[in-house]
Parts: sequence; C-alpha cells; structure tokens
Amino acid sequence: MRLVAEIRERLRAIFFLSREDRELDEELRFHLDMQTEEYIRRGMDPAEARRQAVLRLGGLAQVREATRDARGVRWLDDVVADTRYAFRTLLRRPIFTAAAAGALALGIGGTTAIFGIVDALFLRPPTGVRGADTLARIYIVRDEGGIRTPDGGPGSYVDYLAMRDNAHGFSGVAVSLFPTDLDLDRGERAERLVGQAVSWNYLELLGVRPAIGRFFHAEEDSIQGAHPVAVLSHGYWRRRFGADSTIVGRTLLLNGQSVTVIGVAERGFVGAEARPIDAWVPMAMAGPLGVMIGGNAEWRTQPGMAVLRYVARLAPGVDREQAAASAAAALRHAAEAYPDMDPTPEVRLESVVHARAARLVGPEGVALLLLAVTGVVLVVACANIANLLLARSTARRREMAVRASLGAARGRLIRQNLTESVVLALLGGAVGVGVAAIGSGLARQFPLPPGVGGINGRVLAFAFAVSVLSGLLFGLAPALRAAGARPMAGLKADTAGMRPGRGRLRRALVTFQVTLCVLLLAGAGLMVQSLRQVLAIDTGLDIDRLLVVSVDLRNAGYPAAAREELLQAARDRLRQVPGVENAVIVHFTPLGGMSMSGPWDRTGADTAGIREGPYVNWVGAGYFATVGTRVLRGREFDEQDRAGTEPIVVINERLARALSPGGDPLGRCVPLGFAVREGGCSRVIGIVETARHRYLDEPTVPLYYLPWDRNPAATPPWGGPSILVRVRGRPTDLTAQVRAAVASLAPDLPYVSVQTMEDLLADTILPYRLGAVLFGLFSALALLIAAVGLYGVLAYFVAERTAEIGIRRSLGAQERNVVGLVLRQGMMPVAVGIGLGLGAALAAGRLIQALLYGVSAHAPVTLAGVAALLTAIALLACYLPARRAVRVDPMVALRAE
Amino acid sequence: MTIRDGELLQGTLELMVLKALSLGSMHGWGLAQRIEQMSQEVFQVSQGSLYPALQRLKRKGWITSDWRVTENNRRARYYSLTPAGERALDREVAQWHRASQAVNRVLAWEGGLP
Repeated sequence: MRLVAEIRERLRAIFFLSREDRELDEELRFHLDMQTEEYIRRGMDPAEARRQAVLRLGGLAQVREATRDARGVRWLDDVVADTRYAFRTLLRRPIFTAAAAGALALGIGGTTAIFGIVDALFLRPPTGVRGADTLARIYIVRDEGGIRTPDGGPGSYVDYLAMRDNAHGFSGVAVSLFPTDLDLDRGERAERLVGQAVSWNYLELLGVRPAIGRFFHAEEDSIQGAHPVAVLSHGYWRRRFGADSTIVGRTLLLNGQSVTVIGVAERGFVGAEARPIDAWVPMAMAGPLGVMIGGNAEWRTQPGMAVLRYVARLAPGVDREQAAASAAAALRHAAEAYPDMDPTPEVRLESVVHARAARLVGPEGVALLLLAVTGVVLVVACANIANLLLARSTARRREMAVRASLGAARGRLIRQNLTESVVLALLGGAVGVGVAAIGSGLARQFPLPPGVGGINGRVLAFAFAVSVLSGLLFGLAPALRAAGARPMAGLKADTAGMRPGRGRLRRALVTFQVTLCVLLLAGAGLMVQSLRQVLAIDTGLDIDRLLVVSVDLRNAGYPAAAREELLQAARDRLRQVPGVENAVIVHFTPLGGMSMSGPWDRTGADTAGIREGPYVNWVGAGYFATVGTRVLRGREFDEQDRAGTEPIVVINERLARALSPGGDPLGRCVPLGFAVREGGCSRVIGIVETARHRYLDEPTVPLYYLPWDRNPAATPPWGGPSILVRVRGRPTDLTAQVRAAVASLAPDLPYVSVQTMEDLLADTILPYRLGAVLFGLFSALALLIAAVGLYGVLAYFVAERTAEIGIRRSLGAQERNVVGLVLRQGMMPVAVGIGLGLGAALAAGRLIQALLYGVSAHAPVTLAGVAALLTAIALLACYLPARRAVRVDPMVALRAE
Repeated sequence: MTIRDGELLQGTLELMVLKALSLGSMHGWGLAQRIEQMSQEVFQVSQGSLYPALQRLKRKGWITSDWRVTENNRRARYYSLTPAGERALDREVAQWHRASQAVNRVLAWEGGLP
C-alpha cells in the first residue's frame, strides 16, 4: 500500500500546496514556541530564548524549503510558478497573445477536425469489430487475361470453399458480397435500404455481437433460399422500427421475398467497409433476393465469378505470412480442377482497418490529404509564432539578463520560456477544439460512415498532444536564444545592437513559411483548376432539369411481359404529368456508373479500328432529343422502328470514326448488335455526338445504341432500365408528383426511386469540389499567416535599423536606396522560399495526380501563377515597413540612439 | 559527549523517529525531546532535519499525522506509526542490528589478513 499512500500524499501536496505550507508554518511555530519556553525554563531571557530556538531549528526558511523538497513536489512548484508567470506575461501582451493563439487555434482546430475523420477511417477498426490484429482481409492475386493485378482483388465462391476447408492458417474465413440496394415493403410504405449478403459466420468472425436476437447459423447458409432470414443494423432498426424489440421473428418483404428478422447487430456496427449497411442476409439468399444475377446457384460453382470479399481470423500463433502461404496453397490445389484458371495464384493479407479506405481517390483520399494540408498550415503557424517570439526574445533580453544575473540557472530560464510557449499553445489548442467542433460539423458534408469524425477522447488527446508539441516546436529556438543571453552583454547595451547575422534564423523561418505556402497554393491551384475542368466537361448531355426514375420490378417478382407493360405505362403516364416535357426509357442511365460491352464481330475489316468496347445501351424513341445529345447525321429511333424489321443501330461519333476506314458507316450494315450472333449486321441509321457514358470523369468510349422497343428481353438483368424525365422548371419541385404518378400505376409497387441527374453526378464531383474548397481555404489561411509573419519580420527590421537608416539618409541616401534596402531584406527570403516551394511542388505533384482531373500536377501556368501571387503578397507585406523606413527623419533617428 | 545526527548514517534519524513513535503519538518538538532522552542525551537531534525526515516517512506511508490539542491547550501536529510503519520498524531494526554487528566485527578484528 506504500505506493497508494505515496500517490495520495503527492496529490495532496499538489492540490493542497498552500494548505500544506500553512500547516507546516504552524507546526514550526509551535516547535519554536515549545523550544523557546524550554529555554526560558532554563533561565534565558525571552528574546534570547527565541533567538536560540530559531538557531537550534536551523532557520525557518531553510527548514521550510527542505521539508517541501522532502514532499517531492519541488518541480511541480516550479511548473506552477512558471505557468503563473507565463499567464501574466501573455496577458500583458493581449494582442500578441490573441493573434498567436488565434493562428494556432485555426491550425490545431483544422488538424484536429480532420484527424477525427482520418482516425476513424484509417487508424481504428470499424466500430463493433473486435480483435482487429488477428483479422485480415484476403486479396487474391492471379492472372486474368494475361494481366496480374498487383494488389489482388476479390475471389469466387470456389476460392472461398478452398480456403475455408483447406487453408490451415485461419481459424475462420468469411465472405461478403458488395453492398446492394434492397427494396423493403411495397406501395406507400416502400423504401430502399442497403443490404449485404454475407457468409453465416461473417458477423461472428468480425467479433460483432447481437444487440438482440442472434446471428446466422451454418445451415441457414447452405441451401439457396431455404432460410430467408436477415439481421438488421442497430441504426436501421432504430430509424425504421423505432427500436421495437418485437422485431425479432417478424417478417419483412425484401425485394419481394418474405424474410424473417432473426437479430439486430450491436449499436454502431455498420459493416466493415466504406458503405454503411442496413441489413445482412446469408449468402444463400443472394440468389433469391436477386443480388446475384439470375437468382440461380451458378455463381457458386464458377471460378471466374470473382465478386466475393474475404475476411479471415488468423489461427492462434500463426502470422500473416504463414496464413497467406497456406491460403495460396489451398487455392493452387483448387485451381487444378479448372484448367482455365491461373494455376499459381498468390494471396495478400491486409489489415481490416485500412479496408474501408481502400480508394485513395474519393472522400477518404481527400481526408488523408487534408490532414497533411492542415498539418502544414499548423507548421506555418508555428514557424510564424516562433518568429514573433524571436522578435520578443530580443526585446526581453534585458529581462532575461536581469534574471540570469540574479542567479537563475540557464536550464531554469529555458524551462520557463518553454512553459510560456506551451501555455500559449494550449490556449490555442483549447480554442482549437472549438474550431474542430465547428469543423467536424462541416465535415458532415463528407459522405462518410456514421460515427466518423466529431470530437471524442482520442481526438481530444490528439489536440492536446499537438498543442504541446507545437508549443515546444515554436518555443524552442526563442527559449534557447533567450536563455543564451549573457548577463553583462544584455545589461550593457539596451539597444538591439547591430551584430551581423542577427535575424538569420528569422529570415530562414520566413523562407520556410513561404516554401510551405507555395506547396499549399500549388495544390489549391491544381485542385481548383481540376474542379473547373470537371465542371466544364462537355458531357454531351443536358444535365439540368433531368430526373431519373427507376423501380426494381424484376426483384419484386414481375414477369418479363408485365414489367415491359408497366414500364411503358409509367413512361406514358409521366408524359402527362404537368411540367414534364418528355419521358423516355433507357437501360443504362447515362453517368450512372453501369455499362456493358455489346456484341460485335471482331473478324470483319469494318471493326478493325475498334480498340476498346464497343459498349452498348438500349434507348427509347426520342431519347437523344430528350437527354440533349445532338444527332450529327442521320436520325434517331422513332415510334415507327418496330420489331420484325431490319436490325438498326445508332452509333456515337467515336465508334463512327473507328468504323470509317471501311467507308462512311451511316447507312451501312455494320457487324454490331445482337444480329452478329446470327451472322447478321445492323444498319446504322444515325451518328450522335459522343456523350459521356459511365462516369463523368472517365474518358469517352465507343458506344452503340439499340432501340428499346425492339426486343427488350436482350437487355441484361442488371443496371436498368430507368425512365429519364425532362421537366420544365426546377426538377426537385416535381420529384413528389413524378413518384406519385408512377406509384399510382399499381398498388403494390416496390420503392420508386426518383433522383435528379445532378444528384447522381454530385458523388462524382464531390471529391473535386471538397478538394478545391478546403485546399483553397487552408492555403489562403497559410498565406495570410505567412504574410503577417513577413510583415512582422520587416517591421522589426526597420525598427531595429532606424538609426542606420537615419545615418544613411543624412549621408545622402535616396528614398529608393532605402526602399531597396528593405525590399532586399524582405524579398530575399521570399524568393528563396518560392524557389524551394516550386521544387517541392513539382516533387509532390505525383502524390496528388490521382486526385486531379484534366490537369497535370506540374501545370506550369498554375505554378507560375502561385509564384506571382506570393510575390505580390510579399511585396504588399514589405510596403508598410518600407514606407516607414522612407519616413525616418535622420535627426530623430540619431537622437533616439 | 553529544553526537549530531548529521554525523550518523543516513536513515538513522528516520529509524530513531520510528522507534520513538512506536512508544506513542507525538508532535515534532516532543519527538526531538523524546529521542534525546531515549539516547540519554547522547544525541542532539538537529531539529532542522527532523521535519524533512517526518515528511519522507509520511510519503512512504509509515507514519500519519493529525492535529490535536496538547495538554497545555495548544494545537500541534501529532505523528503516529501506521501498521506499515510498525512492520518497517521491525525490518529496519533487524537490518540495523545486522549492519552494526558487521561493523563491530570489522572494528573488533584482531587477527591478521583474513
């Protein structure tokens, strides 16, 4: 118990320091009184007795000090004293303190807010996942069509069985399918949720626990569709069912199938990947729910269907390499049964922590980049404050010299200066946490999983650590400088003196700040340009006033003929909604991320020019006019293009160019379309502008269009169809009417999704927009801080050299000589900084190239612009000090000396 | 002849304080008196080192202190031995005996080279 007693005693000593001191004084007084009485008893006169008593004790002050030392809190006394002193010093210069703490608050706040996001995404396992260090994601590296993806990818159900049964390094292997939209209920109550099919052991293997009910059993994952069960996420259970605990055992209608809820996962768990999941179903339900194409069991036996993501729990005592080797051996063994498959697959194991941030492009990548950016802003702020403190340390040389001559040890002075910096940084950090709270509010703009970002214990600890670190960082040089003050030198010369080389450190700091600013500004410039490029992309589509309407009829169990009938009825009904200009059926929504390569005869001379694709889409009559894609030559499909006549096709200009070596494709019968499967060809009736197909920021592709009204049965069972609705006025005003119009067609329709085309694009544009806005914001901040810093350095320089300038003026120096002096002083470190910054920007360009669109990371115009902007700002910062220098009155300056 | 505790081995004062306290709670001045009496006036406790020593013992958890009123109606801080302190006293006394016997044997050595 000795330790406990000691800790208690020390805590008491810290918190009740003054009480301890009072009590010790009382105790010593009592002692003296008793000793005095003793001496009096022995016959001394009272005054002498008291004196002897004090002597006998050895001096009150000494005993007090020795006793306090014995309490072991001496250093704490010092810290408390230093802190008090620091507060006093800081409060005496409120403007300096406010400016420095403000700059720090922005730096620390920004860094902290972004850290909250990065921490949750990159550094911590997803909520609910336990024992993350023995979990691993499995990526399979194998040759596919001669290409070996170095990072590896998903695998097939065959791979899963091989690893589950024959890989010895794991205590368990689980798989999951890609998250997918599922329709819940029908009619008015219909809505859409995010579902994921997982192997029965997936949730348990991750270490997740059920909040209520249970997770899957092995037999529920054995026979296709035999056990329609589901587990809900806690969040979805709360949102949709008000956390009703009778949910377990209830039956839900999911994609037209009756599915029984058997449990709810623990609070906070929304899956182990980026997209939050609302409900999990066993893999055996993937087919019946229509998550896997065709709804049949084929995908479970085809080794080429590499769509599964793996996660495994390492067996005790097995490391990642051993586990990977055993998994690879199991896969090689399994591959022997399939001559088509790469016989030597390899296996890569990755932490589950990083899996959620696999894409570096996109919001996660931007978040990581932003942490770096805010960190740089913080460093710029630190450099700046170091500069201000250096200026002050010169001013405080006298104070330090006095203290040193009074016997303060050098280490003591350093410690006291550092305490001041750290106190300042902590002030900044405290405000910074407020900034971070606001910042993470703004960060909700990120499409991030729930619970990511925001202030928590780890984030607060980070803010604290960053604050202390910044304090030490910017305080060290000034503290060393201050403590280096020699008593005599400081006391003798009160003026700053003109020692050569003074301010070298401060100029270096300016250079450093400018370098970082160039780096940030170059990034911002590239991001802004990149956003402008993305926004200026000629999509070949008229995006405004376009709604995308879709209903998943297939999974709702409608037979093909009924689906077709309903789709056409919906289109006709939508055309009658007031405010709707036109409505057309399309299979793959343009820019909706889905596509498929269409049949073509690669043997013909006509198609020799086709390098890629061609892709195929099915569109209704009047499609091109409705979506705003220009018909360059020929015509588009119309209502007269009925089934039974010659196959026809509309091609985009890119495909037309690829086909043109065989003569003008318009009017020709080319080997494209499903007709080639019977050895036929399709007549080109029109050539249209090359519109963007899958994604906004993806290059254009050769594409041909087939008429929707001809043989819709040929369309794939995924990716569509939907109805595009061109409206007058704001599309969002019509969303409700459009949904109601479709829903009124049948009483039990599944969820009717109505989206504006702009929303559909927002996901693609968001990273660019975020990058541009935040990068711009932070680099403007850094620029401001650096400009103020430069101004400070120059203002100080001019003040320091007032006398020198006065002498120069009186000796006949012209205004321009004086201005030149100041400019040289100011612009030299700036010029060096710009040079270094441009070099750094060129070197770092590679890192952000992936986040850019249509602009090289080494764009000379951007870099030149940045250099020009910084030069202009630096000149501005030089202007005021230079003006003051010009106005120096020689007489006044000399008298001041 | 008096011996000042400064001339003694480090920790001796603390040992004597523990022993003195084992006879009953006492305030600092009283302890100094008690030790001097117990040593039959051979030791003169340097009072200046008494209070730091008390503080060290308190930090070790061997003694506690509380404020009481003396027989002359004055407030004074009284120190008492804790159970841990009693055990420590036994331990330290045994060690002291071993050490002092060893020293005595060295000093009483009359033979040649061992």
